[in-house]
Amino acid sequence: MTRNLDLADIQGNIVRAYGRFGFPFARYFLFHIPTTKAGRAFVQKIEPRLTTAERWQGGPDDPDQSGVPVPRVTLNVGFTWKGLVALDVPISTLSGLPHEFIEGMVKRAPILGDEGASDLGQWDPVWRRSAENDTSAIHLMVSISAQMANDGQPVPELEAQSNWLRKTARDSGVKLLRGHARSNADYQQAGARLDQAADGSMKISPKEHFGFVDGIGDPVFEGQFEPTVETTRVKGRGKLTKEQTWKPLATGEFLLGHVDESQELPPTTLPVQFTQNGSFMAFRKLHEDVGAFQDYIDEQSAKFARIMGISVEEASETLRAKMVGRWANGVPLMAAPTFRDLKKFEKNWADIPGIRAKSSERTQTEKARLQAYKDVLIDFRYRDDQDGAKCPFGAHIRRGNIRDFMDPRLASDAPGTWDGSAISNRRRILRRGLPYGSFDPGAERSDQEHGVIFLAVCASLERQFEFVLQQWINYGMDVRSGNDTCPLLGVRPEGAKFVIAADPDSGHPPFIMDGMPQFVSTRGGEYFFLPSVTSLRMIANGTVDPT
Amino acid sequence: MANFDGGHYFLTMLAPIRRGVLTDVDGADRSPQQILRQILGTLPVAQQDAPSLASGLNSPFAAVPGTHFVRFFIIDELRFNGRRPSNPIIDLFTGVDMLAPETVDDLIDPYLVLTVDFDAKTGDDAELRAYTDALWRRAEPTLRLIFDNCMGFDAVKDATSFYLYVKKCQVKTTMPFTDYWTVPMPRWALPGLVGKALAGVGALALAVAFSGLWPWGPVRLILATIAVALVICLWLTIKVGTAIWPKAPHSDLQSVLKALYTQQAFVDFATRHQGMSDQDLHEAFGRFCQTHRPDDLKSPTQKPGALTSKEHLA
Repeated sequence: MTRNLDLADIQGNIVRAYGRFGFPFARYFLFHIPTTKAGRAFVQKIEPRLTTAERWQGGPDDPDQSGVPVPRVTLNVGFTWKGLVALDVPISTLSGLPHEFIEGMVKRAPILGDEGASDLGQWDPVWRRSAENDTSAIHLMVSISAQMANDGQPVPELEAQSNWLRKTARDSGVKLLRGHARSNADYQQAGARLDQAADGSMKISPKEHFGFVDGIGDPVFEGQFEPTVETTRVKGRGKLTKEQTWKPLATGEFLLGHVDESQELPPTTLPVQFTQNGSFMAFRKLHEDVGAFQDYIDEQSAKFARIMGISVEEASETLRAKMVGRWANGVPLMAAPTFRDLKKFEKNWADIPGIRAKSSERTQTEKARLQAYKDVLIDFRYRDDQDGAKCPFGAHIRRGNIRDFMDPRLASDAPGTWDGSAISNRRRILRRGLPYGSFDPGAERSDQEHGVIFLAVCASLERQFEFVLQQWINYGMDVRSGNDTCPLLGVRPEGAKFVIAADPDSGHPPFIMDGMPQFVSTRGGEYFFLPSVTSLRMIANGTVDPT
Repeated sequence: MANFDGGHYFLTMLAPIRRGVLTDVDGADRSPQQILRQILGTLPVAQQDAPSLASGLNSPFAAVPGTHFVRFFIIDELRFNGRRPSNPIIDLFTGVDMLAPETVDDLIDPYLVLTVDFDAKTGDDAELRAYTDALWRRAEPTLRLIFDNCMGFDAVKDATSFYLYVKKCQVKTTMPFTDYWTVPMPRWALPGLVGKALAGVGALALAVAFSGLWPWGPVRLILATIAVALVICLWLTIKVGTAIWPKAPHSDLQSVLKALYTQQAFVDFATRHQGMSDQDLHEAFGRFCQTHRPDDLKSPTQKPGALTSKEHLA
């Protein structure tokens, strides 16, 4: 029996990736709080506009139609450690917060790999100044997501909400910080790729700048969805049990004040209400060097095509898929390990694009068919690929979400001895970001402003976000890849490479992609605390310690 | 004897740290423990990470042949973990006075602990002597710097007296870490042995019962059988637990270093020669074997105390 969560107390961006709920546009506003009084006044005014986790009417998680109307724009708020100090939260409460949050993202650079191309010196001015100068320190972030109007532009409420926010900050005496790359905007922009459909309308595409479908494998936790929705969503996204079934992860992995996967309560502050129903978020602006990526793929594809005796097109598609673990269209290598399998797969599911594009109501058969397709994209185990011949051990998705790969008894033939995903259940993160920058052809060369706003939400930044980044993305020992880093996101020590294992029965040798440059680098970021509504009001009223 | 296990000697020694105050190199008066902590804190470590690699320094013990690990640390006191937990109801009836303080265990003096894991064949004293001799020969100044802060070290004048000092301070290593055994050894599978032993005891008990030679009735026979079975299980557990494991394959330092070297050289070779014709690959591999001599443990190989063979391979 899952406990009912007080959804109206939880911020909406914890339970929903807005980008996946029809909100392809986002703006991230950063503020500095000069005085406690100004800060509290500001927080007091934005609190009523907060988007919470309440079920949305007509949404997939609202089967009994009891939800609240879907907003046109959302609003959520997060505080840095310095922000909480500026708001005069008592030291007795602050001292209970985790040390990595207190230190902040810049001090964690050696752990996060924010060196070299990702060094603070490369960051956008707004983030750099925050680290270098206390009077420009980022204290608070307000994020706004917006739905799309029929013309492919954001709904007008986005600008209205932004203007309201600017005015409220001004009236309260809170400073809106500028310095987002070369942009004059007073916010960090983000927006999904939009593709023109046959009828001329704009459709939201889940692809990021390198051309891959992103955000498929997001965790599911207890209480996030209604039971009926949970049953379908949990497949491939929750945790894999000993019995090889999928169960939602414990609530406490993502929401503070709840029991986590270790059957423990996460460390808390006094009073407990300060962190209860809150969470932590790592914000990272990650630049994608599309030019370097394309050049490298071209160079390696020519070599791969020659060695394997295949066309350059097949080589290019295959290398990209092997690096990520999914083909560009999101189909996992676990479902279609080779280019030929992919073509067969596409033929078998040829009706899916039609069902997706359909503007009228889908029939029951179509719905079932679409669901079956979605299951194939996500519902797989690495037990079925123990030598990495389908999905390389070091592929991006096999690192980011280990699934059952690290089961110590993966090789055992006795089903009762398996441990499922037990080892990785405490290392999951909710991803809540969107791409930023222009998707226009030609605008994607290296020096242009484009990448992803990567948002990771979790109960422990150190145990979840930092661990995954340090141990699995930027190191390879756990995924049996030595020092090799993630072929997509990883930092690159000298002589970096990526090994693509071959099926031992195929007669082909493995392929080693060598001399790999770094494709992704950090341009800004910080750790934020996402308080509950209760906590936000306590902060605003100055009643965290009421005595 | 667990000082020797898996082809490695596990030396553990505890040297009591001197009392009083000494004059440090900068002329300041400091306690031997303070001086020792400063020395240990600044002693170069093996080239095991980016900062130690960048320093260009290496552990003075890396040069001692056969050394896998050397570690110094200080035990300055026994941490008091609070009163021993007890049942308050039993305490009430047994008259435990909660106001009376419990004994707090103390170390009279702090200890410097040295643990070393080095290659050995038999684990006898002659091997320990050979190792401490090598240690003395290669790292005497460092050892003096460290152990001068320990009691009884003034008696150490040469390799012989250093060996005697080590022997005097040595404690038995009760839980060595045989790190190079990556596969289980079926010979020592306890459940199998226990199963066989129990089956044997049961068969014997049945034989005794049916032979009519047991004069004390069935209940006592069953009890006696259980007792014998328990004693055998206990004996087996201790026997297996204390058994000396054989050396893991290729787990001596020279083999480990050569393996690390060859692995790196081969990855480099495999990367560079992708897509070559069989004939060219065969020839190239011949050259690889000539250059890197996989069978020659001595050279070329990875430097002891280094994380990679990068410089050797370049």
